[in-house]
Amino acid sequence: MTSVVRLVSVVDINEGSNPLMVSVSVTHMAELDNGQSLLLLDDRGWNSNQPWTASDAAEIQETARTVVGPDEPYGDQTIDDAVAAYWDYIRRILAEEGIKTSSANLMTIKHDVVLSDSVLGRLNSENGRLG
Amino acid sequence: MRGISKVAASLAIISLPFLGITSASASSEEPSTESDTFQSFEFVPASSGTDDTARQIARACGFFQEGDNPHFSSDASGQLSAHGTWRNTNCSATLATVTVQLQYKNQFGLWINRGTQGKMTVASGGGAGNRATARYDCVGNKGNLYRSWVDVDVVGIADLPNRIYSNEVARACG
Repeated sequence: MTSVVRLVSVVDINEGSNPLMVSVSVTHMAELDNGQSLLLLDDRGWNSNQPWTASDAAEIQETARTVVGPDEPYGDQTIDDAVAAYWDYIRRILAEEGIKTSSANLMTIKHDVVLSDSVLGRLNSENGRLG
Repeated sequence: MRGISKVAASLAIISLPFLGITSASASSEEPSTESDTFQSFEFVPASSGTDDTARQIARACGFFQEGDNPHFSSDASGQLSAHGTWRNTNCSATLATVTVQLQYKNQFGLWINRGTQGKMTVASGGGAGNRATARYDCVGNKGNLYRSWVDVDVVGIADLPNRIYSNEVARACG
């Protein structure tokens, strides 16, 4: 039975965005034990008036984890409700592709954030460092 | 070294409106004519105070505003969601009231507010539980362009009413 071995979020620069300011998209995927990847979320990203000169890789990775993660509680929801709803949402996306797992299991899977070459290049050229 | 560059950068950003590098509309229902280059900035002149006062404010406190793309909420509600937060660089205050609003582009190219505006007083840095959230139940609207704007008011400091906009994204809600 195919299973998820890693969650991967890929951060890339938004095409056409202001080249001086941080503006990125994030694609969130599940890496399977057969080597394939399944798309989980492709509607995430953020825009900021923070210049690349004032950012670093660690900060971008941290923000990426937040924007692909659970939404804030809304209405009568508690934080626990929102977190549970998020993992169930991810579980159901996987289930539609035939990957059976539990929310509890998904929460334990390693999650890596990968910065694209263009993001790394922007950080390098702007900062001379990778943070 | 890094701290110095951060402060310099943030002060430069906040000072931009006073250098005349602004052209955004004050109303959310007016068409956006901004280029991508300066889409992040919207400056509405302060209702009180002089330019000198505003320059002093800009020198006193620097911060960044951040808004994520309108996206479908992962709580299976089918609602669109967007978040806003801020990053303090040298403000003495530790809290800011962050406002975030979703908008869609109508057939005339006008950006119209939609849904429930989010407003929350949060600490700098973002992260779960530290963001303001806007929501819109967009069922029935197919393939519209959406964006959000974020405004940050640092508590206790008369900062500037400038906004940033998220990226414009197409979302098929129906």
